[in-house]
Amino acid sequence: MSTERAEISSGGKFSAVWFIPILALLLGAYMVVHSWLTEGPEIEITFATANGLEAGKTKVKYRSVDMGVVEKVRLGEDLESVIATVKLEREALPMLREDTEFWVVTARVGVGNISGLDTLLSGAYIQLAPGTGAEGTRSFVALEDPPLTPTDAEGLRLKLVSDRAASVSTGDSVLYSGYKVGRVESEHFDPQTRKVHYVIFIDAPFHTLVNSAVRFWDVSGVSISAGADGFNVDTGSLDTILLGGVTFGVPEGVQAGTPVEHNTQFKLHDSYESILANPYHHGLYYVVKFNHSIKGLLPGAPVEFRGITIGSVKRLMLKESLSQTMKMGAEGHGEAIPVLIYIEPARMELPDSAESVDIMRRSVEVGVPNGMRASMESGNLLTGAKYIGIDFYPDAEPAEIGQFLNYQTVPTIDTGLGQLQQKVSAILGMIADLPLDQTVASANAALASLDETLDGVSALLEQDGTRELPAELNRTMEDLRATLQGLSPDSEVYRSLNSSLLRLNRTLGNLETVTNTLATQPNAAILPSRAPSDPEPEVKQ
Amino acid sequence: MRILATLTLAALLAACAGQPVEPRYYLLRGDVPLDNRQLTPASGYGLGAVVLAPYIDQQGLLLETTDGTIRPARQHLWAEPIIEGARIFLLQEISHSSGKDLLPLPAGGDAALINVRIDQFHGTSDGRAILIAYWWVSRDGEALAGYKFAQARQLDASGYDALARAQKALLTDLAREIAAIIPQ
Repeated sequence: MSTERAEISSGGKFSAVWFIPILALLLGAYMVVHSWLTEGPEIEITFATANGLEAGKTKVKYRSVDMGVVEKVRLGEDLESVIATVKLEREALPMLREDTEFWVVTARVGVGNISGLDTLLSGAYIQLAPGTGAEGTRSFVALEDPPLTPTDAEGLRLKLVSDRAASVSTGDSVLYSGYKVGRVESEHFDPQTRKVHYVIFIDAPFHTLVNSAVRFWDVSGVSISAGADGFNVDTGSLDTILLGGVTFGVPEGVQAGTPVEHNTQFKLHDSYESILANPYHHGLYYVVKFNHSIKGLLPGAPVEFRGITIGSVKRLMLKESLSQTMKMGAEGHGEAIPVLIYIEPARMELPDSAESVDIMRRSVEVGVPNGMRASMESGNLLTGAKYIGIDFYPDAEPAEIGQFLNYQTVPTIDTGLGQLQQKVSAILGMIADLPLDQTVASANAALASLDETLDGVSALLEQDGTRELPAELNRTMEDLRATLQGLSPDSEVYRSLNSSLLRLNRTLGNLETVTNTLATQPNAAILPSRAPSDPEPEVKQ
Repeated sequence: MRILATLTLAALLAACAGQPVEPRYYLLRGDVPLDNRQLTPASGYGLGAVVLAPYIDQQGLLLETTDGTIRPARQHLWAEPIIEGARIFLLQEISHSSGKDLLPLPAGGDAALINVRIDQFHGTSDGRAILIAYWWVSRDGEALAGYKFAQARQLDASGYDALARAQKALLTDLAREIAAIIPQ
């Protein structure tokens, strides 16, 4: 029996058995590093409700590519929101910016569209819309409704302001010449300004159609107007007929403007007709005061310069006038009535710009010392409608531009027609004040008295004595004729009278001779004098 | 005192006892033939107004002296007012020249009237007689035609007798011109 001896080594060799734990350690480290390097970010998204959200199932997608999954859903601390913890893929990391948007995509049936039908089978998911802001954000607030326009869409976002909600609402189309070029993204009513604010988006490349001169107006439904040329029906596209919409364009006669920036605000007009009534942006206000009746002058009445409409009457400033008058303690003195007018330089072929407003203001400043005056004229003698006329009157009394509150005032003048109308009105007033009833009554009484008189005359004429009057008158005339014949030139009386007159004339001639003699020789009646002989006409031989 | 009154009365009586100068009267008439006949009125014509300048309407014949003054004669007088004499003279001479008897009154309501206005009718101391007159024909107050007559005639002798004859001759010439327009 052999005995093996154990060899005792000094222990200086590495045992191979250690490779296993080392390998495992390395693998574990690799896995940790790999996991750390490939793991996506974890974010929190706040929703209003957890409708459609399910932990471990609900995915986050971007362009239909899975970018993560909801890991946990919990209530917010205020109990009025839901916070979903989402584990995203690492590829989604660059998309997480401060303006990145999330919303839940579910099946939606709206008035104008149906979307998300695929989620009926696959289930709801969270749509990710990458932002362009600063990186590093990990907490987001989801949108309640999906945005109508992608955040990164090219185009132009504008603001519209309307005095009323009209029939335009979020999602409605924005048209240009009937073609859809954008949409209404949101609407908001401001209770303070009492105006409705819209945000619209014009898709590229149609956003180049927008400039500072365009006007937006409501084309919802069907517009039917009747005029002298028949009926006119205006509509937008089919969806605007059913759902409403907005269109825009440059009004006729308005020059194209300059390009506009994002979020530029425009006014949303009710109709194209209202734009034609006020197609311009720039204008300036003046006040004109009248000391006479302004009956027939209504807001909206035209302001004309030599027959060219350059603006309109905005309103009568009675309230301001009364306040101003009371402040000055001048009430009861028949203050002139101020009328606010709005003048648009573009109506005189000037560009619709602020520079044109300055040109117009300088023109008025120069024009007033040279006789520029405003007057109230009759636009329609039948209806009594009035308008403001502006013209030059070189013979007008000197006047200057005044000030009423924050407005400059243009001096006024009474034109001939206005004065004539006042006089006619005064005459008509006097006629109206005439006691016609009393006059007619007096006239009736006088006619009744005349009837009685005529009856009396008729009775008088029917008397026998009256009927004999013509015959008696004829006899009288015959006698008169006979008498006058006795005084005719060939009558004896005439000849006798003529002879007497001749003798009287001769006697007067002799008397004249005597008086002439006495005048030249007073003593001729006493002292004898021998009258000088008459000078003889002598014939020259 | 009584003696003074007697002398004054004697002086007055002596003055009145002077020999008066007898004036001469001239009748302005044409040379009308002495015959009896029936008048033949000038149909359609009559003598209208005969008007004299006021200075002519005096009893004495008028003489314009060399110094340009007019002196009515004291001893040479018209026998009747010159206005009457002139009218009668023209009636006679126009009738005589025209062969129709022009009546003082127009024959018929629509007859034309011959109107005469004498501006100058006097003699001159250098022996001439002057007549300047205008005459015109009118109907219903409307002048149809007008004429001027201005002539001077030399006296055939010195003195007022010759002046009266010359003035008659001038009126005769005027009457003949007027008569020329009356149809025969």
